[in-house]
Amino acid sequence: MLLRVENIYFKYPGGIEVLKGANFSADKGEVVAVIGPNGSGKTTLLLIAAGLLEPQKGLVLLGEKPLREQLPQARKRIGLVFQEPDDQLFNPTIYDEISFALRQLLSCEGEVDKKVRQVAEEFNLTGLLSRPPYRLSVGEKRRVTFASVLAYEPDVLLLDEPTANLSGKYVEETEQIVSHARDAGKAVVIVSHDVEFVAKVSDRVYVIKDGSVVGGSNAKSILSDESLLSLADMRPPLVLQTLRVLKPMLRDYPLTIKDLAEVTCARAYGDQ
Amino acid sequence: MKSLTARFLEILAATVDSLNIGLNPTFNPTIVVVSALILTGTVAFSKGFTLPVLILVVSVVLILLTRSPIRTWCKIPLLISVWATMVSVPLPFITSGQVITHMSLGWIKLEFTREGLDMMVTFVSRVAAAGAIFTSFAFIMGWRGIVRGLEGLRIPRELGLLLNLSIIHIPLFLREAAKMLSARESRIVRKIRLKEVWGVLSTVVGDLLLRSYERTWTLEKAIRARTFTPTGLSWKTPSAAVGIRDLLLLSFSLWILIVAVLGMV
Repeated sequence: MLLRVENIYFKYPGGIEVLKGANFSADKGEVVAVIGPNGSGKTTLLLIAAGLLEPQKGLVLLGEKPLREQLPQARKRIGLVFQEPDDQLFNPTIYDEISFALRQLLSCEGEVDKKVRQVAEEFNLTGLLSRPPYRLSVGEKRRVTFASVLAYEPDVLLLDEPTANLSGKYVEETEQIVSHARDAGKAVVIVSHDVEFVAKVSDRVYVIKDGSVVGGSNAKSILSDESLLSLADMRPPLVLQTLRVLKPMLRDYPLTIKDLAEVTCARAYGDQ
Repeated sequence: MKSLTARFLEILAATVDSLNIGLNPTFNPTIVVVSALILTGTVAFSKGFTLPVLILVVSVVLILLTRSPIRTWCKIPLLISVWATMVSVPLPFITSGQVITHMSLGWIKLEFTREGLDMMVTFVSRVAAAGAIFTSFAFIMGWRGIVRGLEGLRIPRELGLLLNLSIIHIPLFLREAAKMLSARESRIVRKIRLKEVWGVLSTVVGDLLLRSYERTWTLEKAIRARTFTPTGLSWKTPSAAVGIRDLLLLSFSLWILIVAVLGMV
């Protein structure tokens, strides 16, 4: 496993215990989702996985070695995308935002410039490079957050609620970015309560409730387990809810619109 | 309808924001900052009227040449002049010298002296000229140009980052404060007294402090997440090219400094 988070306990100073024995793992070329209701400790778990918070108990392993022993150099192997783009973007222009990490890694300014322009083109940001990030729309800001992290090509990509406040077009873009990252052999960890998005992109899913992982397996079996989802105050994907109506007629459990269409088609052809 | 305070906060945010312009490629930021410091410092410590008037003219010429918004620019030297005049009003009355006129306020007799008046006018012109020239450079380069110029002078990288963060977050927080104030005002359904208005304002300040703390906490994590060296941020700022305009500006600034030091103006 490329990233392994084991038995994490964490409590904020003067606060309640946010995480109580949480764990998950992610391997190369795999998309892992951690789902759970608001306040279940998902973001804290991600900050710990990125080495930005120190747990009171438990271990984070990056490439079989404790992450703590590899910091701060290991941060170039981990890319963290925050839930709120305004929290992540702190440079005066988008150019500076993308080049922030590159300037630490590349010695020549020419190389930095070349890479920034290449990444900007990939994320459709070329015309916006000289603009301040906070003057962009939420969807464009989200693109910049991805560009600023993927520019230095981390092995692990940690995404905190990547679809929050995004319109349909940008949600699709985010799906594509996640798929490309998986194809490029990165380990992608998503924390979210958007089950529709998770159903589309993830290979494995963990369910977190009150700081503990209450279930973890492949996406299909977790997202179709209504009792497990309701335990974590989550609803199953919309397709599954629709399926309740069709359930008596179907044999398989689709999670996406595409799956539903296929199953329904199969059923229809089967009937013929 | 928004209150005066909410509108003031929004206008203030827009004003700070308006100087957050892209880098001006016409000038080298470092040379502009050096020139701004030389000219502002020289005129602030000058004697007589000649240099302040000359610097005022240069400020206007710079604004006109770079096609910056002169009407907006004018407001700042004017405001500075009004403030400086108000502050220096006592000077003609407290400075001894040739009496121009007497004034009587009941049992208080005041003497208006020529030396005091000269000091007042010199003070106002120096302050106005210093404000005008620095504002001109700020208009031409914007906040980011000034910070880039300071980075070119090798200020610590952390200080540059801090200044850039301020440029981004001051307008954001001003707007947030205005929104919070409007949200509170929208729930006031009767006419309230001034004391109560201050009560509402104080809750906004408290909320703003909490939000600032939260934002700072997350921002620190965001910066650390993309910092890969134990020594922190240590790369060099790419240096901008030096053109003929930059050399002319620097030569002029140095000439002004020399003639001021030699007491020629």
